[in-house]
Amino acid sequence: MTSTHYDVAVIGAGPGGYVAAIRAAQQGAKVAIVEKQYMGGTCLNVGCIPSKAMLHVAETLHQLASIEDLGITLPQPPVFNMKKAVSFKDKVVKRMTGGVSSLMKANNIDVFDGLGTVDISKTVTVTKNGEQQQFSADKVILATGSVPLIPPMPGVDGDKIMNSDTCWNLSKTPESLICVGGGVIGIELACMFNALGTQVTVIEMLPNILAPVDEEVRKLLVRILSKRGINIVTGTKVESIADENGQKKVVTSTDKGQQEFYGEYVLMAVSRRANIAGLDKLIEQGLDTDRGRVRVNDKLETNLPGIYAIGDLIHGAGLAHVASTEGEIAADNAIGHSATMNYEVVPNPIYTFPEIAFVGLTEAAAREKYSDIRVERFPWAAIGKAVAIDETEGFTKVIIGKYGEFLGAHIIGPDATNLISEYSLAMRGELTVEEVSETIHPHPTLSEGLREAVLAVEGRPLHIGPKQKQVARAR
Amino acid sequence: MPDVNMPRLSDTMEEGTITRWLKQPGDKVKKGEVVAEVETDKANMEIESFSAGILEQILVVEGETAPIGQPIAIIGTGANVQQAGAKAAATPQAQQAVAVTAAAPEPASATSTPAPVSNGNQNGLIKSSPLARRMAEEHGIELTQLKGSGPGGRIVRDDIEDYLEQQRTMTAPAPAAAPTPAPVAVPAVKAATPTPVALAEDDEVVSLSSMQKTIARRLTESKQLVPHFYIGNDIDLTDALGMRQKLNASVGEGGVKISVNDLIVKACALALEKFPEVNSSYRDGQFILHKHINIGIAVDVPGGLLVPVIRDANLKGLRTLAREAKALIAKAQAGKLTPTDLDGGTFSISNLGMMDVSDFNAVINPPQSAILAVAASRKTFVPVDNQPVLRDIMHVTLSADHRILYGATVARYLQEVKRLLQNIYLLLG
Repeated sequence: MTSTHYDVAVIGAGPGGYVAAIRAAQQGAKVAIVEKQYMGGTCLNVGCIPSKAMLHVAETLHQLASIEDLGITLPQPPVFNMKKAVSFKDKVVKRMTGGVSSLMKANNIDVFDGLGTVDISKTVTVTKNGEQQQFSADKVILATGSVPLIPPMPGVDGDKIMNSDTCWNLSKTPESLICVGGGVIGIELACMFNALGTQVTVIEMLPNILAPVDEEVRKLLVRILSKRGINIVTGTKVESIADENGQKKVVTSTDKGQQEFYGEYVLMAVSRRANIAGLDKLIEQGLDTDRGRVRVNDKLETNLPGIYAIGDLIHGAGLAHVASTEGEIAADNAIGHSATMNYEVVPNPIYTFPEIAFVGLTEAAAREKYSDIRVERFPWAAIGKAVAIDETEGFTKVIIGKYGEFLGAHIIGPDATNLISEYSLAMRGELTVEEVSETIHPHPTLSEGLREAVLAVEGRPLHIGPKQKQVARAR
Repeated sequence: MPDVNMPRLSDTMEEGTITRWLKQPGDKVKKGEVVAEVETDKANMEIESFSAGILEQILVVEGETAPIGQPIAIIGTGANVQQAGAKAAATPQAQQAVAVTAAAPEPASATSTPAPVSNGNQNGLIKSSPLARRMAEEHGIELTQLKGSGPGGRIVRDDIEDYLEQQRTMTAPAPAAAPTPAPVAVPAVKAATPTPVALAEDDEVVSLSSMQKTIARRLTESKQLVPHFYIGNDIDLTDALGMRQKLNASVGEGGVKISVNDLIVKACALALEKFPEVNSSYRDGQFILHKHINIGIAVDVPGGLLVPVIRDANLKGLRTLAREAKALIAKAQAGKLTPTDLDGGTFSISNLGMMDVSDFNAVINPPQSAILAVAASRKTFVPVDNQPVLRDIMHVTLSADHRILYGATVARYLQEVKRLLQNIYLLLG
């Protein structure tokens, strides 16, 4: 079945790699894909998909807390079985990874199981349990992704220390958890464990959690999470981890001195680093890297002819959908087109409760770049559908340039991650506020809030009075 | 309907000269296929078609220049394919004839301003984004003058911004020029020349290539706008030459040899780490300090000068530097540099040592703030412990931008370059 020469070889079957393989195969190329661990990569196995399954469980549990208000009586607290939740998550993952395998088959892509190493002549060696297979390719797309970054510190390799790869198969809900790192991964997991009933402390080194998020949105989220009992500690550096009286002890430092935190588990969610396993040879042969990631141009070409790199392996947002788009662009270029990446409009979803999603610039960044901008918000509390589903926390915020163009949009509230696409489309299609405000939005839906925010820019929001508007602004 | 436009192939490109058409009217063109070769200010590049169809007409013939964004050919697709295709198929001779007449030198003169080719506006509809329309309205731009670069020829924000930028650069040198956008950039440039040189009968007039025009413009700007000052030093290269000989003796067949210039690149880059203010640019009252240290190396090419860039030179080993420099020089001489090879320099080195130059000053390559001129190394008697000793001495002169750099800083920077080259093992770190 398998051959010894391919038009395109893809190393890594995550959301970047498998999409690249499909795109190349769709256009008639003979494609091989090499995967060392699991089809779908981090995203499908230990990232986006399992986390969304577990977040769904957690969110459902979270909603049950106020179910009495809806006239439904359940035993309080509801009985939660972690093992069953994990097996639900496993079913989801299995179904999704199975889907990737059948997509490979349907597109006549040869799948090689093992660690792929590449050399400058574009010979790919696949190693599995000491056995080797070799083939050559005209073009190679490197898509080996990333792994959790575990910073060196005393005690970091101890017992009951998890990371975002290893926290998915617990047999019971942890009593308490110290999450080291308040970035997107850390905060999503903190939110999830909190909803499952864990006492969570987040320790972030920077002055703020969720550094890339618009300040106003972030402040509201911090308030909501704190109210829910998540202890958020910022400007604090973790120095060491130790065991004390059957608990994990996390020693931290600030300018003011040392502090200790105790918990059943520690979750390391500091950052991720590029996975360069298998690339040593290429790097030795001159593959250009920059601070631990592979350097590419806007066609995603590395400095070595015919070798492309995409996804978390290169510098960028570290988002699955960006990796997939890069996969499409790299595949197009690998088979002879000339396509370039455009990173101007990248939607960022964050799966907290409530959800956050944004696209484009934050208000601060927009103010730095442009002197003439308008910023407006619209609260979910004034949208019928949000009130009906009892999710009224949060708002939609738009940042508009002098021609009425969208510079940035930020949503915190119900279904924010789905809603953001309207604004992404507006930005990519270069729509102005007029096109959005002139578009009929269905009632009763959350999408009305998106239009209302734009109407506010035009000075004519419908479902909020001038005074209320002041309140919304002050948030 | 979709046109092939003169693309912007580099950041500084304003116009391009068609050097060769690879497709002729009537030829089938695939998406992404190269249709023409173009000479820009920096390099010879290929123009690819963004659409598939049949090449109906060539609008800019070989040897002619067009500003970016101007249509250079028309490719028939969609509803027009049949008609255009049939026409081309039926009368290929006639089509050829049109192209040939167009190639005659006369009609290209400024008097016969080529009429803007109508794109989608026969039916009164122009494909454009709402934002592009708003911007055009604001700036009083007729969308019919523009060619869209978006999907299906849609006019988007970038096209308006490019057009505004083009207007700005075209009107800046000749403010008297009529506000109507001149579709041909060449006359505007000619008009800007202040005092024409009187021609004697036997004088030969050679038109500048686009690269030469760019060099002329940029270096004039540099000398007029950037207050240069110069600081020189003598560097004892004896040990460096010794080490280089040893390194190269062991490299074997096919290996990359390290040149004196590579050693200088490395020394300059490492010294820039220590003096980040020299790795900088002046911009509108601001002092921009660059994080990356990207060294431009001036390369002598037929009919001009190119400065390809070695990125992050401070982070690279000597062998890597040598390999990259060798590849860039070869590409420069073959006319194959890409805009990426030329962009992003933060400091430059011009080495005329191999031409036995004793001393020279280089012109700063804006927006960089400094350039090192390297002269030949010569056997010179120098006093060592009051005894004359024969050493290899090389003179270097640093030109620096006095708006942001001052004598003492530059002198200390040069001392550091000297210290590194005279303690050559420091370069191996």
